[in-house]
Amino acid sequence: MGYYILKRFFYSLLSLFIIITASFFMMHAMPGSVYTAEKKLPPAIEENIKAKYGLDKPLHEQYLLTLTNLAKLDFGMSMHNEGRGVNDIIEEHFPVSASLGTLSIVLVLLGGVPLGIVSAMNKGKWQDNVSMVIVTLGVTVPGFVVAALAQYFISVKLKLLPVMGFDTPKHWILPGVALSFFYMAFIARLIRSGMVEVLEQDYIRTARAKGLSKAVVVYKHALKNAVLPVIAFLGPLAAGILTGTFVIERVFSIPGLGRYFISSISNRDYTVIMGVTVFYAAFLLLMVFIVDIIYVIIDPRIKLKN
Amino acid sequence: MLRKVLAMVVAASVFASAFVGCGSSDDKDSGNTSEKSTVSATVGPEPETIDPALNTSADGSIYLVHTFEGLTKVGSDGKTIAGAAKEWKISDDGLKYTFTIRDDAKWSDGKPVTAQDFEYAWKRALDPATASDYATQLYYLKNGEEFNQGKAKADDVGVKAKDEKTLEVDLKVPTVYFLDLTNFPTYFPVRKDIIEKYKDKWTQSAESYISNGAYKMTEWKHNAEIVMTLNENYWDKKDIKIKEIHWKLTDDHAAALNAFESGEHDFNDGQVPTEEFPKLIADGKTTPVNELGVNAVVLNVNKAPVNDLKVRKALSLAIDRKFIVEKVQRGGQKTAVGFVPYGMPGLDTAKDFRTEAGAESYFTETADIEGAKKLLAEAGYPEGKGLPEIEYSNNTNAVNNKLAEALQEQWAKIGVKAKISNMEWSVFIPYRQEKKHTIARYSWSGDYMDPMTFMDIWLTGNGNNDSGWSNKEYDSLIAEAKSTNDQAKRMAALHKAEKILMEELPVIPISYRLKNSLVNPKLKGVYQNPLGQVFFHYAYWEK
Repeated sequence: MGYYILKRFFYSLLSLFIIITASFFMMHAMPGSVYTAEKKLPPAIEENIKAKYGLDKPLHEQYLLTLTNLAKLDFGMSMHNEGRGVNDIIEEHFPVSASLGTLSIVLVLLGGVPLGIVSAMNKGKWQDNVSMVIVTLGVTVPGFVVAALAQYFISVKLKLLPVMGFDTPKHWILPGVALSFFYMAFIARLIRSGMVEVLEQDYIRTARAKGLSKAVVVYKHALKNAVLPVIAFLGPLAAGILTGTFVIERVFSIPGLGRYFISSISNRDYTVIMGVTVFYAAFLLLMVFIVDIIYVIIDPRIKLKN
Repeated sequence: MLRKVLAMVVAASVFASAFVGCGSSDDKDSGNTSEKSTVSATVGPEPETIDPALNTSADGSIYLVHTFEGLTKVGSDGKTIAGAAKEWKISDDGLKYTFTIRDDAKWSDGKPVTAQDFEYAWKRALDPATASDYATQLYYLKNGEEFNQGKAKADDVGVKAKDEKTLEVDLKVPTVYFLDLTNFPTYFPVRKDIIEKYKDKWTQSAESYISNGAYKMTEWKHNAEIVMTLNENYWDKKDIKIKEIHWKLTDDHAAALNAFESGEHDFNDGQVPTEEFPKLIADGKTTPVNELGVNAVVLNVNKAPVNDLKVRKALSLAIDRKFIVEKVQRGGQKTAVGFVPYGMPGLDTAKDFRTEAGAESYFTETADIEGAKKLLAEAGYPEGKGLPEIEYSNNTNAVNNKLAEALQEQWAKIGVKAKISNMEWSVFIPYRQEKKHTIARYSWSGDYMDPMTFMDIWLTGNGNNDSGWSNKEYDSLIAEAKSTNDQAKRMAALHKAEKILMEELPVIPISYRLKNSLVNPKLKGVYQNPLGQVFFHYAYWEK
């Protein structure tokens, strides 16, 4: 187990290094620069800006400097938002994205798992049909449409909840729902198909034959197996929710980190692109790493070589 | 990935706005609200900077005119009036200005505003190490440009504090609009002790963001809001009714409109999906504000076939400007009749540069297809035969794309085939500036209230002359206008120069910019100027 963890950790570091290198050279290959503007700057002023941010140095020097600074966890200053450190940006905005993401994952699990179980238990009956309608809607209607509809009907028409911002729990509801709707539906489907399959297995029949209560059969015997694909999906889910926040944060004007991921690219804000990419990449690699380990612990059928 | 997300965002805005149109505008605040002294407004997303020396954007400039005050300021009627300076003297040759700072001008921490603060601020903005995009705004000062380019020392720059309250300014050439420039953010004073202590981060917190204007920043929640409250040390605070402003930062126009319709925001300076404007205008919800800006296309005069003047003229004649403003831009814009927009002061104080004697209308509202075909035939392309496909470059956004398609269709009527090539903003701009385009979307907005801000960009070799056009007579007319403070001479030269520009057509103007702001009907006295700035200094809530 120790060796397995060490190996996985090494691979994660290697992935991170490749991501950093690829991002660095790709972003410098993009046309345009941080001072690209409708109004062209006089060459002397462009030179001043390049000198200020070290963009006048040869690319390989900039690359080595970037690597050194990243190793020191110093992400530098934003080139677009004057006076803001990239570390400050991450410290200030990631907690917002993370709380929105966590809220959504909780909503996904609280909504998706029961919905899937109810469906599977009542396969072919009206409960199953109703929940499958919800699930189909959830999978087909994108989050930003849910967001726009919710904003219009609940905030503008009924004036029940605020349109934008993230200050109070009241502000969290709409974005949380909009972000989790798709994954909730997806998880419900995973659980349903897993449960349907498991419920037809011999050991469930045995359990029933032993006279165990329905609840014990479902929760102790069936769910444990049906939930495995859900756990495997948690890594990609975390990734999906995090990337999903890019759009939802914009629609609800939530001061999260996601928007920097996009705006820094269109602004050619090199330091922020690197900082945010490295941070997200490290975070996602960590998530996948944790899920891999949990999976090994939960499912004894996975045999570790060596 | 980026493209996909952007597409999703655009789709979301379009989708959301389809519903927003049916919104009702019932007034919730029908009670006794004249005591109300707070405003929540949205004028843009998270600003790049609120450092006066570094700001280049309209929204940043709106925040800055509230927190800072220059030697002069903008009055409730838009005229330049005394600000931190109570009076000034101008030498006969128009080259030397001597300002006297008022005794009661104070910073938000109570310290007096001094002439040294201005000298420091201007030299800081010009310092190559500051790397300000807008250092050019200070090139009017003697040796300003030279210092910015490392060819002169800071001490050589024509700004000097004679004592605490006297500021002496030497200009390079007589500049009739220099007083108007001094209420522009680049000319605002900043505090040396603060900037030396906090460095680049001085704008980031309320403690370090010491300012001398009517308001002070009390909080900046990045990407959420900037809060400003009345600066109790401000010398002219007695008539200010709005004591607290919440600037809501958002880049989602559909959400911004929703927030206005739901009453969360009291003011929105046109941060609304374009397709909503016809409905909002019809419902009488908008306040139109003329902006000093022109929408146009720029033609690369060194590339065939638009190197041929007849082809350029034919392309211009084929444009139905009325159709474009009514069906594409849809915000009540005026069609362009020259390169300089309406509202720019000229010689005649009763009229403006566009409408006074000496100005001409170079374009009609609708297209002249026959005339265009005739010119095209004269150029050797009857009905467009033999004419290669012309590339029209465009930076992708909903309105630009529709404009591109409208032009493509209109040019097709005279047999010109245009191929639209859409690019991301940061790709498009260098493409155009490096003159790789044949025809490209172009827009220009004025930096100060004088026609010169629209004219000197077409000088030979100017960084914004994306046409590559060069005309000796034009260059000498502009030089003439720049060298004198005789307004009659200046304006005559500028009118002549514009005539040459519009006959040679390196750039084809289409329409003038217009901003449609949304203002809560109870909120009165908000002044909005043609430079895109908004002032709550004179605003109040009606009962």
